[in-house]
Amino acid sequence: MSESNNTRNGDEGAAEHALREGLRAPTLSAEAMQRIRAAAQQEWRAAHPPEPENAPVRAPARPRWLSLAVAASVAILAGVVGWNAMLGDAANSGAVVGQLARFEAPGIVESRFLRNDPVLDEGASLHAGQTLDVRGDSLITLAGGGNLRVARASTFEVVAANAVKLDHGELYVDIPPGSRGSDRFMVVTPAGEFRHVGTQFAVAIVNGMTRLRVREGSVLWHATEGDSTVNAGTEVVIDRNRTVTRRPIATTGREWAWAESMAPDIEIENRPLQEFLVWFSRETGRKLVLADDAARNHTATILMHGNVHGLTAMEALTAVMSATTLRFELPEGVIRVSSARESTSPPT
Amino acid sequence: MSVLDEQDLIDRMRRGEQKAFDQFFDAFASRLAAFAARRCSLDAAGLEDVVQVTMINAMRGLGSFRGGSALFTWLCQICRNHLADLRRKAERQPKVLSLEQIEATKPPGSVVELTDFRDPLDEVADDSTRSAVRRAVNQLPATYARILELRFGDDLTVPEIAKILQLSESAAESRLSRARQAFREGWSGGEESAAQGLREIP
Repeated sequence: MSESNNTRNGDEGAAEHALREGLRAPTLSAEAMQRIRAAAQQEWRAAHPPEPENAPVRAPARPRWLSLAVAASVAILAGVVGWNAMLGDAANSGAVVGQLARFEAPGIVESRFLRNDPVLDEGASLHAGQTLDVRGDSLITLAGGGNLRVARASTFEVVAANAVKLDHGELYVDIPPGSRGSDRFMVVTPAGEFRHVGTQFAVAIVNGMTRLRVREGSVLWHATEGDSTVNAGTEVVIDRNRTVTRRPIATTGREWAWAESMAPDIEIENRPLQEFLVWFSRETGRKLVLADDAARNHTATILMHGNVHGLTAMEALTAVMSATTLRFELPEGVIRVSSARESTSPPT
Repeated sequence: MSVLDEQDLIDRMRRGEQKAFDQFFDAFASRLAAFAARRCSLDAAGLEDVVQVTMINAMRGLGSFRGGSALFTWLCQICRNHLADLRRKAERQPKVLSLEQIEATKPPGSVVELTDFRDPLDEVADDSTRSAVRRAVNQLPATYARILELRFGDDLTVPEIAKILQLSESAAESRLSRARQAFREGWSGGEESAAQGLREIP
């Protein structure tokens, strides 16, 4: 083989390699694809309910008794609808778990048997007895303190003022320490009940597996096999055979991004900077480090003005800190705030 | 999947047949995700949103699909429209320093302009090689860019590509060969430019 041929073949190989590298697309995780499937299926099913099997192509001659049967069926149906309406009203008068504070389109739909499924408005109360299809990420302010964030393509049922039952999908519970007293919020799953102990945690049910991720504090897991405590930075996966896998996880990062995007707004007007920084550190799962005396003093005494509504936690941090003389860094799992005079770079 | 098969699939989905939905999702969702990923530099969560919204819009529009184009082409058009919407929205947003900029790990998510018929690949990639390859592919005629994307991006065989592009296998092979050649020429030029650019740095 000549040198030019060798060179050409080498070029071809390099070009093909570059093409594969350059055109290769990152793939979505199986969980992400599962969420997409569930959301698409929900939409498809709403628009295209299944046709009854063996539906007659042409209606046969109708005997007299059929009219009577139809009339009887209508009466029964009316009774069922009336009963259901009564049940629905009863459900809506059940204990209130919280209020829908914010949602991404198309929002939350209440599933009702034999009745129209209404889309809930912002501010709607969620009552015990309701089953809710969450079609866009949603934020619920809990009546007893804290908040519940539900990922799109989830379905859950409100079972009591302090408990929800997750059928599938993912939800995130944020109960700031001391905000609920002895009233522990609980998430019921096929793998058992998860009760907060002043904490932030996420529970997901994907493909029949239940996954608990604890971000802050700890969670009491009550199962038929017994009780156990799961601490912050731990993931527990319980599969269909109830095999349990535990592993350490990061409390920051992409896994928490959807929950962070649904964080409740914080009011900063006339509030000390430190309060905002504590909120930021909780929302992003980072530890707050005030690096020097000046930083400690400033964060306690600087009062903020304006608002950060509609901004993500990170955008809010940037907006707030740009109005101060302090600086911040975001090493792994930490937000480090220091006075501008302090420098981390070596002297030149 | 032939056009007739696709029409049958759509009809069955309209009748609410679960198996048809499963077939549809299994056949197109991953390809759609790859299509979207090559056209935007959003992170995984952003990409998931794009694919999900595309799928939801497709399910809403299923009744209006007339079969004038292949099913996947129709899905891609819905995806393009959504990406263009995102880009327009992003342009209207006030400029705020983002997490990505602060951590300086990668450029912030962006969406390329897709109103152009060329439907270019995103060049805002997190490493220069990928970006350079995409730039080189974007310079090629659309038919060449498309066949390279199918071969090297989707990893399809020539018979599969021929079916999608409705060409004979020999015509597909021949077009692929010309596209490779055109890319090699543009790519080696680009590599030289990049190398010169590096040498200019004092």
